[in-house]
Amino acid sequence: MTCRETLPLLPLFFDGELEARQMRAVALHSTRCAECERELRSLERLQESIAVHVGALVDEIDLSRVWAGVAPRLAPRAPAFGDRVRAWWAEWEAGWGLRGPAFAGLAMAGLIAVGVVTQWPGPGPKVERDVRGRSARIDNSVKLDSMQSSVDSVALVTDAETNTTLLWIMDDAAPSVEGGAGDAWDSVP
Amino acid sequence: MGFRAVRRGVHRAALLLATCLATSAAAESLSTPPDGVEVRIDTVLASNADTIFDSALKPLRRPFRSLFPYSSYRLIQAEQRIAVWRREEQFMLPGERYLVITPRGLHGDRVSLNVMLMQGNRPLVNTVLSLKNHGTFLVAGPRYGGGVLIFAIGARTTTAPPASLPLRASAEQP
Repeated sequence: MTCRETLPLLPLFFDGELEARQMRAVALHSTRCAECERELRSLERLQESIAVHVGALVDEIDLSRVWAGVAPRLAPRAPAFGDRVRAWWAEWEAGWGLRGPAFAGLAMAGLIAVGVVTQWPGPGPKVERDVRGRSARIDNSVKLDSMQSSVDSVALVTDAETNTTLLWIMDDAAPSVEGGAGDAWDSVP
Repeated sequence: MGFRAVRRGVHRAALLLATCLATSAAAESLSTPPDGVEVRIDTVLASNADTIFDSALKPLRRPFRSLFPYSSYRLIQAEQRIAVWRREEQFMLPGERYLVITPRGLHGDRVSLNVMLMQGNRPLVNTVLSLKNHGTFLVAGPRYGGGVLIFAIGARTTTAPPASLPLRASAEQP
């Protein structure tokens, strides 16, 4: 190996980046060639001076706060909201066999309660509604604004419980219509 | 002008004002919903011949028991119509009688009716009354078929009252 071949390889030799065969050839040539030996020594000095300089710069850096910033990032992180929901749902599905009937019962009870309060599904057919309305809340109160009568006498009677007003007509002069003997109009009961 | 004359003038003015207020209140208080009013006449034969209470009269059981001394109540006729406000409706009744009903208007939750009971061409009773909406008014007394007739007069309207309309005096009396 000649100097012309060895000199370009010296930096690589110094860094240990050559193949084993080239490493041996460069090392053998350097022991025989003073010029290449000097070049190799100069590379050693350059590396030493760089190392010293860089080491001094690194020593000047304050690394005491680096750990304070790194440590929280290394702590175990809370799962995201979506992950928590998925986990909850998976747990809920696993217990659905037991909770399902209870949930259905509660929903049915709620529906029945709402139905009772709102009378859902609403009033029934018209006829039923009529009968129910007339019997459930009877308020037959009447205000008489005026009255003229040609009969012998009339009587107004009111049922206090339902406020129902009865106009009872007594007319002795009226003819009997349906074969009843005597008066055609009954007396006040 | 003496003190008496002044006082008489004040009284006249007050009377005139009260009359105007009463007239306007009466005219504006009655409304006539466009759907008319449903009038129902149930004719019941009450007697002591037996102890039957017609199931169709169930809503009237309580007032009947309270107001009448009879043991039997049979529904012998029922008629129901949608009547037009301020227009006469005649309901034929047993024994050559008939009812003339004229719905006058709606005042709050009360239906104002003119009810006239006729026998032949003779008016027996002519009355103006305000019946609770969905309520029933009873007229009774005529003998019929060994018992007494009871007329249950019901009226109801399902429409909310619109803006008030004045009631014309000519329409008040049939």
